[in-house]
Amino acid sequence: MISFSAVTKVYPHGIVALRDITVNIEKGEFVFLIGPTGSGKTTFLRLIYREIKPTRGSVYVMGENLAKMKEKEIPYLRRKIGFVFQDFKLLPYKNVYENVAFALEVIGCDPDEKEARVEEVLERVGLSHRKHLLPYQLSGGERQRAAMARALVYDPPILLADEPTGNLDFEAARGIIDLLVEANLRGTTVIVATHNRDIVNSLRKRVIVLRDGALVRDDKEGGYDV
Amino acid sequence: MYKLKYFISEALKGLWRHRVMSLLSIITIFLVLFILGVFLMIGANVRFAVESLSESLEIRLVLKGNPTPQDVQRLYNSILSLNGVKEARFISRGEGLRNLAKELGREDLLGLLKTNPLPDVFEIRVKRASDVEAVVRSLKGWSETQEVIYGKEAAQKLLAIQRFLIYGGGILGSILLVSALLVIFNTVRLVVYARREEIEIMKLVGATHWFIRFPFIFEGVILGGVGGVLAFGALILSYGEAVKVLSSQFPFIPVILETAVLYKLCGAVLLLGLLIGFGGGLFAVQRLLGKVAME
Ligand SMILES: Nc1ncnc2c1ncn2[C@@H]1O[C@H](COP(=O)(O)OP(=O)(O)OP(=O)(O)O)[C@@H](O)[C@H]1O
Ligand SMILES: [Mg+2]
Repeated sequence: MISFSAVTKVYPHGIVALRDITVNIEKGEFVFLIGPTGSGKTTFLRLIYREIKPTRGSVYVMGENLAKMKEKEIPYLRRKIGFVFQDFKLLPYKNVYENVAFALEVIGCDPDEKEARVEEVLERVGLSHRKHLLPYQLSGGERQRAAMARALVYDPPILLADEPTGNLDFEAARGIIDLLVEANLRGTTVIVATHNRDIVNSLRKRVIVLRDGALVRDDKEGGYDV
Repeated sequence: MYKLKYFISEALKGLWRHRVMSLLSIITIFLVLFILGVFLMIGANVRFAVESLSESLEIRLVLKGNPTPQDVQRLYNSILSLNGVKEARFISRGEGLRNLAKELGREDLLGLLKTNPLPDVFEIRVKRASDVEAVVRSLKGWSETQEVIYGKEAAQKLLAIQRFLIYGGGILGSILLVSALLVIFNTVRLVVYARREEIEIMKLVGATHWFIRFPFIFEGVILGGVGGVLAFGALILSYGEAVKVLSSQFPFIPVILETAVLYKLCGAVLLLGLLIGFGGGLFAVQRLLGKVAME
């Protein structure tokens, strides 16, 4: 599904964010990506949705070599990948419904199908009763649910989450993780970068640990600490 | 079809959401285009006036001896074939004397003189002041020519004015045009820049570049178009008023009254607005699209 082969990423000014990473993530896996701040987690995720290119090595997503991917093909790659970020990235002037629908409008989905799918996904994340509210009128947990709905509405085979619980209390974080697990049970490959020790420890999923850009641990059913 | 509707409605929503900025940019575009239009109109009118004056520049070709009607016809043809000549009129010595008598108010002049002392003359008008010198030079070379009389100083002054208008006006006009382009371009760019977050999210959820571009291009075109239409209307109206005032206060100043010319000028201003709106929108969104694609 996703495979890194000897990937090194050097940012401008010679900052090495990832060094020589080789890792393979199969279809349907649930992976936690952990490591101290600045260890390269976000960089790892950005490589997968082709926000950036590796400096050396290659990244394959669903059989495609992203380094060779043409600029024009990137949108189609992104339609196979859902994203959730710590800061939600919702459009402030669109309500919940419109924010989710936006993701479908952008890919040219027809209006009837759009409505059905948005309603369904809002139901799934438990936001149907909040769909007419604007992001600022929602709690942090609800905002992240809206972002989840937007990521899930086009049924992507891959879901990336960068510290999705970073701004949430324990309860809200739990709710978001449940949604991620549920998506994973439906067959979506999920990668979550996180600092949340409790959640990593309680789920016992695959854990990939980065430190200073190097892969230092990769456990099948791992915990936060060794 | 569904998409076109989507693009237009997104563009309108975008403009409305940022209505203060949109309004400000429309005003800016309007003002810039209006000033440019005023300048163009003044320029066109000054040129028109100078040309009218040039037409009243007159060259008198005084002929030697007694040319036959055939000679006169031949000379007439030669004169018209000279570059820059607009029209020529033959005035025989007889006609000249009658005119003179009329001017002096002495109808008996013909009787008083035993012989007609006046020569045969061609009155020649040129198209432009700059043609005078060349025409005069040609005429002087002819064997039938006794003398060439013309307003040398007037011609030279007009010529200087024309040169000044062409170069000065050209420079000033270009400066004005370039600043108009820059101002409008930047205004549209600012409007688009206010929307970077939206573009980032669109890219993230897999919108193609064209899909992202269209609403912004529409926005640019709408901004430029509305500014242009306003400038068009204001120019036509204020020109009418200006002409009214001018022709009652200074009736001797020649002005362009032909509406086709005016509409063409104002139409050019409108088109300019649309084009710059389009270019500004496209360029701005292109910059934002390019940014993340780097690294
Ligand atoms: N655009 C960039 N230009 C230059 N350096 C960058 C850029 N983005 C990240 N870096 C650097 O790359 C390194 C890895 O950053 P990255 O964001 O991947 O870390 P992270 O593991 O996500 O950290 P955190 O847990 O704080 O989010 C850091 O040292 C960071 O300063
Ligand atoms: Mg990060």
